[in-house]
Amino acid sequence: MSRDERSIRDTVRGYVLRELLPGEKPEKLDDALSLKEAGILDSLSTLQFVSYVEESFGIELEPHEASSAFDSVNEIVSLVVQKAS
Amino acid sequence: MNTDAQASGNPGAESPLLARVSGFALLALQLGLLGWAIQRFGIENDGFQQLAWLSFAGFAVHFWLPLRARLAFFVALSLSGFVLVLGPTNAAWIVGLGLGLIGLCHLPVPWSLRIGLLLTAAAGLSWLRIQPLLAPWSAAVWPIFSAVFMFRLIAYVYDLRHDKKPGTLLQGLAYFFLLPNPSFPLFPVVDYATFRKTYYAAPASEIYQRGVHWIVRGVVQLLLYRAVYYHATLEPGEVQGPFALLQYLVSNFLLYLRVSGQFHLIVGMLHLFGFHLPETNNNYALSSSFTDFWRRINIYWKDFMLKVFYYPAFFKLRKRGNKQALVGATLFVFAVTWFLHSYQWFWLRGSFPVTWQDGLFWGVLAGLVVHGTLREADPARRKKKQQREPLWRRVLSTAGTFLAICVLWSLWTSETPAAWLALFRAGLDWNGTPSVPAFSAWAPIAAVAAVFAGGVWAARAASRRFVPRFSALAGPFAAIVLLCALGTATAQARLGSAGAVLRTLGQSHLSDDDAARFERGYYEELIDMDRFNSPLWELYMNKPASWPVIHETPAGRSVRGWMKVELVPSVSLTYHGATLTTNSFAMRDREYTLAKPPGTFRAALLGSSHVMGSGVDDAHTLDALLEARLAAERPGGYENYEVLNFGVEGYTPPQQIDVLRDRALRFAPDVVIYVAHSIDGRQVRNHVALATRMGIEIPYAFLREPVKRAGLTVDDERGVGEKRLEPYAMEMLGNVYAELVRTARAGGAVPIWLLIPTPKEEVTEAVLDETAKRAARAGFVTITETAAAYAQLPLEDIRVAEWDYHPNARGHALLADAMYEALAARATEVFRAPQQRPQE
Repeated sequence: MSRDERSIRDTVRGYVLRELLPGEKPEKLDDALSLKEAGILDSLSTLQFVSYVEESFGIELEPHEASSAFDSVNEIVSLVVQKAS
Repeated sequence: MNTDAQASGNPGAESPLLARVSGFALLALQLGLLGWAIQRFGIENDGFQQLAWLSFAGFAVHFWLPLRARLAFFVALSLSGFVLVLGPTNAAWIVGLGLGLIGLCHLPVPWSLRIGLLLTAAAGLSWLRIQPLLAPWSAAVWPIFSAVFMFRLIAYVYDLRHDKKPGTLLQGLAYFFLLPNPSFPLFPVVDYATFRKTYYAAPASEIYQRGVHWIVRGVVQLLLYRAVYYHATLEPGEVQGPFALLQYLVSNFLLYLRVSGQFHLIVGMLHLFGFHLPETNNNYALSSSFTDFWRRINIYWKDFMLKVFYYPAFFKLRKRGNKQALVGATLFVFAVTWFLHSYQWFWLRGSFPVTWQDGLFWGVLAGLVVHGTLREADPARRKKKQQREPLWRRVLSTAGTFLAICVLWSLWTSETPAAWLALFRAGLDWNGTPSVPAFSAWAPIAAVAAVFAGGVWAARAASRRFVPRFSALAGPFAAIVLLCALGTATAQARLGSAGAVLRTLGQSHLSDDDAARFERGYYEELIDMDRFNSPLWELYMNKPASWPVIHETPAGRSVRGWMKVELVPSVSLTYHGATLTTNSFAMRDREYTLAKPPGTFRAALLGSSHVMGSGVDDAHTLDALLEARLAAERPGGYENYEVLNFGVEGYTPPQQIDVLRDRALRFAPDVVIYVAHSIDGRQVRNHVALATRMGIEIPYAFLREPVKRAGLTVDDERGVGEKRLEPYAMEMLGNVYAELVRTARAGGAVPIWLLIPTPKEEVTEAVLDETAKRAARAGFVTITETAAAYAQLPLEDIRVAEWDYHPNARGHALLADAMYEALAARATEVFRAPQQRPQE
């Protein structure tokens, strides 16, 4: 894992733990977990998360990416890496 | 599909053989027992039961296949499921048409052209949908073909357009021709990307066990649905007082259990083949707000709308600010949802309804969800929401949301705005409450409330866990064993009244109210079916287009006024698959002379479509068979026996007075046999309400007077008059019976009241008591034992078709025998010589 990717992962995980799962222990968050199926991410929080990712990494996301790629930490990290490269 | 997941999903890669064998044995045992329970309780229909066995057997093979062969096997199994349920010709049409549509999606031409070609194909198909006779395939193809493609094709094209790694042909075929689809026209909108991404996205044993769990949930929900549908639903006209209103509202909403039960079955079955799909519904009755409700009920629909409409709309609008974009995108989604419900109806049923109920329902829900979304978008509120709220507050908000949803649902399913308002007027009228439920009746209410609170607590506790819960073996296994135990005749016999209720859950039929609506036939064009989850709708959906009512054929015609319809003399045609001939007197019968020949016993049979013999050949009608039996047995020693059939489809009890006076008595019958149904009271009410609404003069003072007392007017909307007349229905029926008796006696005939069943279910003691007592008081010779004429046979063996509850030839034969026995048992009253008959 490159330093960039690690930093992206930390940022994304930080948002999930801070905004979506306040009080949860970081080691309990599985990066492969489907946040939507687990009921953590709904349509509104997805849009807020999208805005945060766009602002944090200076990228612009497409509507279909909000639905297909915003499901787990791993997927979001891959998307950001791909968009930023 | 997920390659990492594939590796972990292959049990052979991880588990030793012994573990695989024992895992398989446990799953096979559960599926075997489940199959038995599904069969025992008659879950859904024969087609589904066959499909369930096919999928369970297919699972036994699929389990042992190498991973690379499984998807191809699933496609082959699914296609054989289509053939099994729909027959080879229909299945071939669906697959052929489907391959054509899928092929268009993959044409090597620009996207705009591909979309244009798909829209052209859709336009062509929709033209054929409204002109079904022009389509070269059977009408049975439409609902399933539509269920496969109407939404999934949109999701497929969307992903094809945006996905960088498009799926393979095999994945596409597996996605469209899903194994459970042939049994379920109403199918969850499975997302193509999710379908591919979740394939073996967890260890196989977990996926399979979750599949079993969800099938169990589906079966339980479908049984609960039946319990509600058969035993708790009320007609709007039956609502008097707040308790009945509450029962109506809750039971009306809980009918949705059918949809969620079916969806659990469907997705559970797909799990057996490695598709680790998400939940379709998530404790929607425990929603704590309207936004929560929208997220929990029909989750696949919500996800489809988010993906294809909501996110694109939001991204387009967000330049104007997040709040405006949220509101605009949400309103857009609800407008599209409204449109797509009619679009769905169009493909499944062939018409495109635009109704005020839909507009109001989706409009109000949209407003409430927008309000909730804006509240949730407020950062301060969102922070607060993340804190653990007290249980009492969650219970209250959940109960409030549930009640509000029930009210909104009742609006959606009501026939007219006035009928909905009338429902609430009657329901909120404390003075009209017959009685407050007894203390013992509060126990179940308290139990339900406790379960509700417990459910809220459990859901609240579960929401704190973000690690997904995988199904344990113990829960589903225990549920399966319990289901099987409750399905046995021994358990049902030992459980007393609870066992009797359980027995009813093992039969799939219409509730009394829906059966009454279905029986109307002649009023068919007036029927508004509840949305997509009612068995009544399902029956209509299966009904061929060429299944007219009598006045739509040359054998019948509409007439102005009280009678509404009549038969046409001297016509012979095929009606509902059987030869139907009318004589020169416009009776569905052979020719008779007006004057009764000497030495002849003559009976006049009065009734509706059952007596007319809808769906049976001329030689097999009740009157023909009874006449033959009388001629063979010669009770009373007459030289000749004639049974004249005056039955006309759609005639109600008060119209029989006119038939008797104006037509039957001209033939000087010795007896007049009035063939009654358990729904006679309701039919009187409905006919009188309809006549009032249509401004038709009611010819009888004893019917006009209750109309006046109930305050009916010509301006009443449908449903309102019926509701107001409900308290007078049995009184009116008693007067109709009395008039029939008076008229028959005046014509020198013995009036006989004879109850026949419908091929639906047994007539209850209460109905027998109420209706038969009215008949006896009116002076009829009453015959009720004929109500058990079909008792020896399964009901499906004696009805004309799945969608037609009239008795078939076998049913008519049983009826004729039962009628003969009943008449012979009353020989002294019935077969009297002319000089012995009363002279009025």
